[in-house]
Amino acid sequence: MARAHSARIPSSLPTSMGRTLALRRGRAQWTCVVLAAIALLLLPRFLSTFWIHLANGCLIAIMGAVALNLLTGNARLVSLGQAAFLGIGAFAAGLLQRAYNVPFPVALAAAAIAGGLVGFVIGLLSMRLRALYVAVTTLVLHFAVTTFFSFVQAVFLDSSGIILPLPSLGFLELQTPTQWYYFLLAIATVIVLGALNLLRSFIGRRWIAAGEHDVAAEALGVPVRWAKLSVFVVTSSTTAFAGALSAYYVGTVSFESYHFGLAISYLAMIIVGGVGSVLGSILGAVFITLLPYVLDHIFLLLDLRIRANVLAGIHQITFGALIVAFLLFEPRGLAEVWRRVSSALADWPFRYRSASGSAR
Amino acid sequence: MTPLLEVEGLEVVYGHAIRAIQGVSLSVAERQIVGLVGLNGAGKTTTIRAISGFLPTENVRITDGRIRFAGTSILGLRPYQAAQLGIAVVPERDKVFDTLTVRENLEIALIGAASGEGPGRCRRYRTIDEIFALFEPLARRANQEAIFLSGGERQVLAIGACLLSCPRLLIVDEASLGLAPLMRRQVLATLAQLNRELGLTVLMVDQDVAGVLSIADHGYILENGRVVFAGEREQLLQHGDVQEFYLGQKEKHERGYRDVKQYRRVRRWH
Repeated sequence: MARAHSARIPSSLPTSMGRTLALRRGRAQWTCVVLAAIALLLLPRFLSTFWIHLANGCLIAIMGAVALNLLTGNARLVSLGQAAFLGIGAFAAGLLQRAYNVPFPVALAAAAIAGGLVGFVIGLLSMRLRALYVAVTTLVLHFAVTTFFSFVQAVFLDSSGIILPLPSLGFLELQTPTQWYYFLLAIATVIVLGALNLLRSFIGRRWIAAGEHDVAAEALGVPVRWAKLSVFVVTSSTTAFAGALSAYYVGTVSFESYHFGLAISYLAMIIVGGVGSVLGSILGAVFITLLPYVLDHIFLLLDLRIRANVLAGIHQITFGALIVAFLLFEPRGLAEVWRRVSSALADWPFRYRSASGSAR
Repeated sequence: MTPLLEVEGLEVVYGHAIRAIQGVSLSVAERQIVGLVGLNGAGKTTTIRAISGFLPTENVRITDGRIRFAGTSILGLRPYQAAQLGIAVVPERDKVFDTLTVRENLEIALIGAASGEGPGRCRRYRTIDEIFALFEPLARRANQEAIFLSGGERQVLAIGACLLSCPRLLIVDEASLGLAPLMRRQVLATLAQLNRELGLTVLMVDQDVAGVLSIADHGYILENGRVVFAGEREQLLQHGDVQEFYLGQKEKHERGYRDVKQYRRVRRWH
C-alpha cells in the first residue's frame, strides 16, 4: 500500500518529462495556492456587504457541491436528493435549537448525524441498485422528506418556519457577514481538503472503482456494497451539515427553501463545473450561485429595464441553456477549461512544451 | 492431494426457465493450467461466474452443486470475498476503470488485496513496478487514463491488476478476445511462464481451443451446459471430434456450421 502511493511518477520513465512536470507542479502549484489563500483572506476588504453575502452563499454551495460530486461524479450514484439532505440538516438543527436551545456546534453535529443516518438508509436501499434506480430512490426521498417537513411546519411550527438566533462559538460571535465569511471559508477549506484526501486514499479509490465497473471492482476484491453505503453516509452527512450552516446563516428554516429546483441546481453545479473533479465542484458552485446576480448586473449596466418576472424567466433560460451547452461542448466542465487555460499560461509564449524539456 | 478448486454437479437456472448449466463437474489441481472451452452459449462464463461469486443474482439461481476452494465451500460468498480468498477473475468486459490512470488501476488491486490475506502469501508481483517490468506497454502509459488504451492494452492491464491481487487461482475469461495473434501468443506465453515459474494455477475460459491447448495441462469441453469431454492435453489433441470440430483439422470434406449442429443433435444430445 505504502509503496503504491509513494511515487506518482515512475522512475522507469525514460524521458525527463515526468521530472519537468513534477517541478512545474511543485513550484507553480504552491505559488498558486499561496496567492489564492491570500486573495481569499483579503477578499472581504474589497467587497461590499452585498457581495460578501454572495461569497458566503458560494462557500455554502461549495460544501454541498463537493459532497454531491463525490457521490455522483466519483461513485456514479446520481442523487436528486440534495435539497432533501440540505433540508434534513436545517430541520434537525432548527428543531433542536427551538426545542432545547442547544449550542451551535451541537446543533451542527446533530445535523450531520441526522444526514448520515438518512444517508445510511438510502444507501441500504441503493446498494443493490444501478444508476437510474438510485436516482429514482433519491427522487422519492426528496418528495417524502419535503412533504414531511411541510407537515411538521404546518402542524407544530409557525407558518414562517423556525427563526434561528445568531449563533456563537463561545469565543467567536457570528454576526456580521465578514465574520461568517471567515468561518465558512475555514469549514469549506476543511471539506475541500478532506474530499481531495479521500479521493487519494483507498476509501475514495474504492468509491471510484465501485462506481465505474462494479463487476471489475468486486473481482479485484473491492467490497462494492460497502463502498456504496459509505459514500452515501459520508456525503449525506456533509450535505446536511452544509444545510444546517446555511439555515443558521439565513436565520430561518422553512420547507419552501428546499424545493426540487435546488436539487437540480446542485446537479447543474457539478455538470457545469466538471463531473468527478473537486476543483470542478468549486468552480461550478461559484458559477451557478453568481450567475443570476451577474446577469442582473449586466442588465443594469446596459440600462435595460426588465420587469422582474421576465428577468426570472431569463435566469431560468440561461440556466438551462448553460447546462445543455456544457453537456454538448465541454462535458468535463469548467475544471477542464481551467486546466487548458492554466497549462496554456504555463507554456506561454510557446504553443506547447518541448517534450525533451530543452530550450530550443 | 485435494484439488485447489473443485466443482461438483453444478446446476444453474436462468429465470426459472433455462437450465444453463446442467451438472458440471470439474477440478483444478494446484499448479495446473486448465482450459474450459466451448462454443458461444455453452455455459463457460456462467460456470466461472458461479465460481467467482457473481451468482446467484435476482433471476439466476444455483439450484444444485458444490464449489470448494482449497477445501472449503465458497458457495454464497460475495465476489470480493472470493477475491480476497485468492480467486482473481479477469472479466470478459468492463475490466478496467476508464477515468483512472494505468497506475491507479493497478492500485485498485492493491487496495482490494490489502483487505484480504493477499500480500503475505505473494512471492512475486507485489509492486506496480514489477507489473510494469512484465508488461512493457503498460509502463509507457503509466500516467495516462485507461480510456486511451487499446483493446490489447486493456486486456494486459486487467491481467496485471489480477496478478497484483495475489491470486491462488487466476481465472481468465476470454484472454484472447480482441487481441492480435502476436499479442494473444504473448499473453498465453506470459500465463504459461507465470505457471512455470511461480506455480500460478490458471483456469482459462476461451473459444480458441488451439490456443488454450497449447499451454493447458488439462481441458474440459463444455456443450449446452454439460461437460462432454474432459482429459489431458494429449487426449484432447488426439481425440477425433475435438480435432474435427474445435481444431478444424482432419477434414474429409468441407463442413459447415450446419453439420456441426446436426452432429451435435444426432450424436450427443441424449
